[in-house]
Amino acid sequence: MLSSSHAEWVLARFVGQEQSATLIGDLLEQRTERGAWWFWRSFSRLLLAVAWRPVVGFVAAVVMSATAYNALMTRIMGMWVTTAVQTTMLAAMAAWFIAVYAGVRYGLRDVLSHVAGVAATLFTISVVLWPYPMALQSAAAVALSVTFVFIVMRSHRAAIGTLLATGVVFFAGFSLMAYSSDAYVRHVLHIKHLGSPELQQNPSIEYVNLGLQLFGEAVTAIVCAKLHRRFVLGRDQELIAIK
Amino acid sequence: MKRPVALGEFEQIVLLAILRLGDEAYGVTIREEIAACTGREPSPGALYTTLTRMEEKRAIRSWLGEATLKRGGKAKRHVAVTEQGRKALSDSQRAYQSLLRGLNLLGGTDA
Repeated sequence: MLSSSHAEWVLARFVGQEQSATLIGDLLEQRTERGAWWFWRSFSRLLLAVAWRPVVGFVAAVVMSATAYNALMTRIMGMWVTTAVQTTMLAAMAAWFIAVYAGVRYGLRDVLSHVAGVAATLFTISVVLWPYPMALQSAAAVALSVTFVFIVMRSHRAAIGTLLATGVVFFAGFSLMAYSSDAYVRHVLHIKHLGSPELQQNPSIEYVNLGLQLFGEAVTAIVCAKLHRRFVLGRDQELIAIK
Repeated sequence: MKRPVALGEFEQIVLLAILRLGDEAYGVTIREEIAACTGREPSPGALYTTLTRMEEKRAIRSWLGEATLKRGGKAKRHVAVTEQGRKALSDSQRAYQSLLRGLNLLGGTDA
């Protein structure tokens, strides 16, 4: 049987523990007069109001990051792919993921959306221009100038920190996914050389990869939301100051 | 330079309700006040998202209050209008008053 504590737990996934407790407290205060049906109807509407942006933002971010990956992979096909190209490509994926997630969740006026959007564009341009050193150097100069301007702007500093920290989590998730996927293929399926025939014979590899990827991206989204709340909005500090 | 805070219609209603309630303003009382004055009760979701948005705009501030048994031991989140919110509200209301001037919509002597 569902209770108000379950409702509070679900709501806390989207608004934080403290907000969730006060919101459920508001509904409980009126439940004695209005009944359980009203409580659950109000809770459902409340949940819909607070959850649609994070959920839609996450789905859009996953799609965008996969699209960026496929587009950039097509672009670099046939190129001499160095570790630097791969790292820049991963950075572009991470930046697109964060830009789209923040854009949907916090709106296009949010500073994190701006900073991540600019970073995503610059990383993407860098990968595209990789075979042309002069153009690449120009892109790097623009990237450095933009970063400097953002650091000078006080309002954007917290967003840069949030972007960097979330980007590191994305990288870590991606590396962990690659390692776990390799371990699954080697130690569970006992496949030494993975090629197209092995992939066709073992469709579970695709499912495991997809599951690991979604897990890593979900962790990235959670970290992004927590850091944004704490540093970009500065809500936690403000509440402590008022207390 | 700080950009002036722009307020929507519902945001103005919520700010007015908070000002009317004074120290007693929190989720439940704000909804009741709006229902009593406008005849429309806002949904908890609409009120929560509006309060969050206004806090981000620095039009209101919030703090945790007392927990009661009736609320399942959960604290109230009290809200108050900031100076910035008060100014944004008076600017919006002034604009409404200018638009109303010369019209006899309220049936007063302002026609």
